[in-house]
Amino acid sequence: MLITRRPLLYWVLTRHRPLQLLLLAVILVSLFFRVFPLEMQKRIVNQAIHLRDEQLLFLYCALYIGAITLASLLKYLINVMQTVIGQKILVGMRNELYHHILQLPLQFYRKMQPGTVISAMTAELNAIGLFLGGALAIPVTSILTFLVFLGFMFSMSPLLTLLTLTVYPFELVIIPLLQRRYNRFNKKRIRNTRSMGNIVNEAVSGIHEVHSNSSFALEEKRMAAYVNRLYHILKKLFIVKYGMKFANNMFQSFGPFILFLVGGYLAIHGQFTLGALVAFLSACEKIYDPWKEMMEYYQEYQDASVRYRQIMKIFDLPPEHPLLPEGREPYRLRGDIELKETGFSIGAVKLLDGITARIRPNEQIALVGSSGSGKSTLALLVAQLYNASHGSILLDGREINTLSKADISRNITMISQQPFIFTGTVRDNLLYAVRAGGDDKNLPDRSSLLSMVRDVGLEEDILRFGLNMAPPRERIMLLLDKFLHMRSIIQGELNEQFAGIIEFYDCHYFLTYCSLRDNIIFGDSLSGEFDTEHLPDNKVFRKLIDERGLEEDLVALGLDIARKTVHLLKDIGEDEFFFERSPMQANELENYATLLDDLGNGSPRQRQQRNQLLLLTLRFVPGRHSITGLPEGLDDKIVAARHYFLEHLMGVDIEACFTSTSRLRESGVLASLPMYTDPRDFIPFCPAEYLYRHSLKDNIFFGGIIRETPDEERLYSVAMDAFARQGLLDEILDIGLDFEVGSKGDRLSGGQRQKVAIARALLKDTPILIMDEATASLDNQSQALIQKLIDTRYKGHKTIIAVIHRLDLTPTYDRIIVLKAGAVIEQGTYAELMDRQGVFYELVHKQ
Amino acid sequence: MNSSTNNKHRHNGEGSSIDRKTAFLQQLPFFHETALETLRLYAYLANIEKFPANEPITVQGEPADRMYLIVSGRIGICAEHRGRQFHLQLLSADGFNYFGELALLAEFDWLFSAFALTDVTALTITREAFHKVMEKYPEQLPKTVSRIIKLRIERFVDQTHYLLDHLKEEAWRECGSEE
Repeated sequence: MLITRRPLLYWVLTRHRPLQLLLLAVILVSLFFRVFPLEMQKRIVNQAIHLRDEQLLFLYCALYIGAITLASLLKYLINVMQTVIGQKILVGMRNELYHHILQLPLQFYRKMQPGTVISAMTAELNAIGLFLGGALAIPVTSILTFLVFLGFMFSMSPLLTLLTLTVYPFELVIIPLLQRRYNRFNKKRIRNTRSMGNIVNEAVSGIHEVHSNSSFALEEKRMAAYVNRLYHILKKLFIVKYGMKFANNMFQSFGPFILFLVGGYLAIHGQFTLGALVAFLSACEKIYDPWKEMMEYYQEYQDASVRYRQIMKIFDLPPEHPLLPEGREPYRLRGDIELKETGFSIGAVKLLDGITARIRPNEQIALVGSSGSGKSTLALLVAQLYNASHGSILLDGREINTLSKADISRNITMISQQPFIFTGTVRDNLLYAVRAGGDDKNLPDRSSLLSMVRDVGLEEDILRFGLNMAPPRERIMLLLDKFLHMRSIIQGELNEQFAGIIEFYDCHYFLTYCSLRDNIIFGDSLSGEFDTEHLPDNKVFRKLIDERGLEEDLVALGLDIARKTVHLLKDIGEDEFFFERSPMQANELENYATLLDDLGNGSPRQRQQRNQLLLLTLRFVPGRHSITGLPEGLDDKIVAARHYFLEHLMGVDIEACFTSTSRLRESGVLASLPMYTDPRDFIPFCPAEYLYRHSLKDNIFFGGIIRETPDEERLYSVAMDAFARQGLLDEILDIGLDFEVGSKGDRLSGGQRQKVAIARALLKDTPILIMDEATASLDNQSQALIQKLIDTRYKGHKTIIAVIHRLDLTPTYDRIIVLKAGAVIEQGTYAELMDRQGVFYELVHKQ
Repeated sequence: MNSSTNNKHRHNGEGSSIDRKTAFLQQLPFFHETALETLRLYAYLANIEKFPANEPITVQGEPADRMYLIVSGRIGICAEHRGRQFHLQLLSADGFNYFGELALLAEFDWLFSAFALTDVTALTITREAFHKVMEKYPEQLPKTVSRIIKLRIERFVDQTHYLLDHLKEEAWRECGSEE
C-alpha cells in the first residue's frame, strides 16, 4: 500500500507487535496491583480496625504499600515502554516517508514549497510520535482499568455504581461535539503554520534579494499576516480545548457528590459498611482516572489523525519509476539514445513537440537554440527527470519509462547549470555521485581523485584551502618532517623573497607584525588555555604580568587603544573596514564606549574593566594597528617577560630555542628542542616545533604577515614550486579536499561550485553524460579547459549531450541539434550547418 | 635573513601615531581644505611604506590603487616611451610632494614609474580607504575631487614646462603651422 494511503492505526497495528504485546501483559499485571490496594483499604477498616487486630493491620498495611509501590513501578515501566514503542514506530514512519518523498517526481517539487516539506517531516511528525506510543496501550489499559474498577464497585453496591455512572453519557455527547470544532481549528493551524514556514524559508533563501532591495518591511508584513491569523486560530483552538477540560473536570466532581449523598445515607442507615464506603469512595475517584485517560486519548487520537492526514495528503502521489529493476541487475547501456516524436507539455503549453533524433553510442551532441527553445527540457527528459507527455525515448532500444532509477543512475550523469553542493567537505561532494551507487568499495583512489581535481582546474583552489587548514594531528605526524623542511626552505633558500612579507618568529626579538599575545606567550597551547580570549583570566598569565610588572603597562595601552578607537570611530558605524587598524571589533565599540563613560577620567580598577582592556592590548599588532603606537620600552619589557615565561613557567629550553633559531637563519638547519618529550600541551614558536592548532600556511611561513603584497601571486607560485619539489602538492591537495564547503557550498565561489559539480559527475563515469550549460558560469579559461577534456579524454568513450549557449564551443561536437520553439529545426555537423546557411548559421553570426 | 633584518621592524610603531601623521598631512597643499576630523581618519588609514634607494615604487602599466605622500627622500618620475625611459619630474619631501592622486578617483594602470632615488618613506592612502572616507563624508566629495583636479592641472603644467624646456630646437614650431 502506498505509504500515504495507510491509516494512522496501520502503523500501530503492524509495527513492533511483540513489544506491544509485552506492554499489554505488563499493563494487565499492573491492573491487579492497582485494584488490590482498594481491597486492602476495605479490609483495614472493616477487619483490622474493626477487630482491633494489630497484626492484621500491619499485614494489610504492608500489602497495601507493597502493591502501591509495585503499581507505581509498573506504571513507570509502562511509560518508558510506550515512549520507546512510539519512537520506534516514528523512526520507521519517518524513514519510509522520507524515502517516498525523495522519489516524488521533479514536477511535484515545482509546486511544493520546501517549508511545507520540512515542517511535515519534523515538527508535525514529532507530535504524532507522542501519540503512537500509547495508541494501543492507553485505550486497552483505560478500558480494562475502568471495567475492573467498575466490577469492584458493582460487587460492593450495584445501586451506588449505577448512580455514579449516570454522569458519563453526558460527556459522551458533549466532548465529541467540542472535538469536532477543535479538529477544524487544528487543520487551519497546521495549514497556517506551513505557510508561515514557507514565508520564513523564502525570506532566508532569498536573503540577498531582501537585503539588496531593503524589502524588510515587505517581508515583515507578509509574515505578520500569518502570525496574526495564527493568533486568532490558536485563540479559538485553546478556548475549545479548555472547554473540553472544563467539561471533564465538572463531571469528575459530580461523582463523589452523589456518592456522599446516597452512600452516606445508606451508611447512616446501616445498609453499607464504613469500610466499603471508604473503598467505594477510593474506587470512585480511581475510576475517573481511566475515564479521563480515555477522553484524553480520544482527543489525542483526533489531533494526531488530523496532523497525519494533513501530512499524508500533501505527499499522496506515487513515485514515477521503481527504484530497482525487478529480478535483474541494472542494465549497462552502450549510450544509444533514440527520440521518437517526443513531446512535453505543462497543461496546455507544449514545451517540446515531435522531437525525432538518434544519438549513437559515444557520439557527442551539442543542443543549441535560443532561450526557451526547449533544449534544457529535452536534456531533462533524456535523464528521466521529466517524463515525456507523448512520443517515446529509447535508451539502447528500451523504453525509458520502463527503466528503474538504478538503470538510469548507473548509465546517465547530469550536470546542471546551477548544481547543488551539499554541506560537508569538498571530498564528500566529489564522491557524492559515486557513493550514491551504494558501492563504497569502488570509490576512486586518491590519485584518480586528485587528477580529476587537476583536470577540472580546481588544483589551485584546493591547494589554497589545504594551506589554510589545520589538519588533525595524526595526519600531520606522517608528514611532519616534510612540512618542517618547507619551513626551513622558506626561511633559508627562499628567504630573500619572503623576508619582505613575513616577519619570521624569532625568540630574540619583539615582533611588530604579531599580536602582543603572541609576543608574550610566544607559543600555543593545545588545550587552548593560552588563547587570547582566555588569557586575562589565566592564572599563569596573571602571575607572569604581575611578577614582571607588566600589568599596568598593558592595561594602560588597552585604555589608550580604547580611547583612540572610540574617539575616532564612534560615528563611523559598524563598517569593518575602519576597524582593521584597531584591535577593537566593530561590534565591540559600544561596550568599550560604555566602559570609557563609566571610567570618566579615572583609571580602571574593576577586574572586569581591566580584563576588557587587557584583551585589546593582547590583540594589538603594532605593525598593523595604526590606531596607536607601542610605548617606548614596552617591546623590551615584553621580550624579557617572554623569555621568563618560556623558561621559568613553561620549562622551555630557551637556550636551545635561541640556538636553533640562529642555526636556521645561518644554515637552514632545523634543530629540535631536546628537553621535550611527548605528550605536551605547550608548543613554543621555536623553529622545529609544529603548531597543531594553526594552519599549514602558518606553520610553513612561521611568522607574522607583514603585508599582503601585490607580489603575493608570484610568491605563491614560488612556494608551490618548492612544495612540488618536496612532493607535498598531493598531500596538501588531499588535505584541501577536507575543506568544509558550508551550507549549499556557500564558502565556494560560483566557479568552484561548478567545477566541483563537473568533477563529481565525471568521477561517476557513466556511458551517457548530459551537460546542461554546465560550463556557462565559468571564466573563458576554465571553460576551455573543460571543453578540451571532453574533446580529448571522452571523445569516442562517452555519449555526451551538451546544452550549449556559446556557439563558438560547438565545432568540436560530432553533431549539432538546433531547437526552436520546442522543435528540431536543423541537425548536422558544424560544417554542414554552416554550409547550409540556415538558422544555425544565423545564430552563429548573431553571437 | 639575519637577525638584524628581523630587527628592522622593531620600532615601526614609532612615529606612526595618528597625531604625527595628521600633522604631516596638514602641511600638504593637497589637504589644506580638509576638515581635521576627516584628516585624522585619513591619517589612521594611511600606511607608512619604506623603499630603499634605487628600488621601484610604482611600475608603469601596473594597476594604480594608491596615492603616495612623500615623508622623506627623493623620487624620480619616469615614463617609458618607445622602449626608452624619460625622466619627467623629481619629487622630494622638501616640497611636501605627492603623486598618484588620480588613483584615488579611478581605476587605471600607472602611466609612469616612480623610483626611489634615496631611501624613501611615504604615507600611502589607498583608493579603497579614500572611498570609504568619502562614503562617510559625502558632502566633502565634490570639493575634494575638484581639489585633486586643480592640483593635477598644476602638475600637468609643471611637467609640460619641464618637457618644453628640454625640447630639442628642431621640435619647435610656430603655432598654427601644419608641418
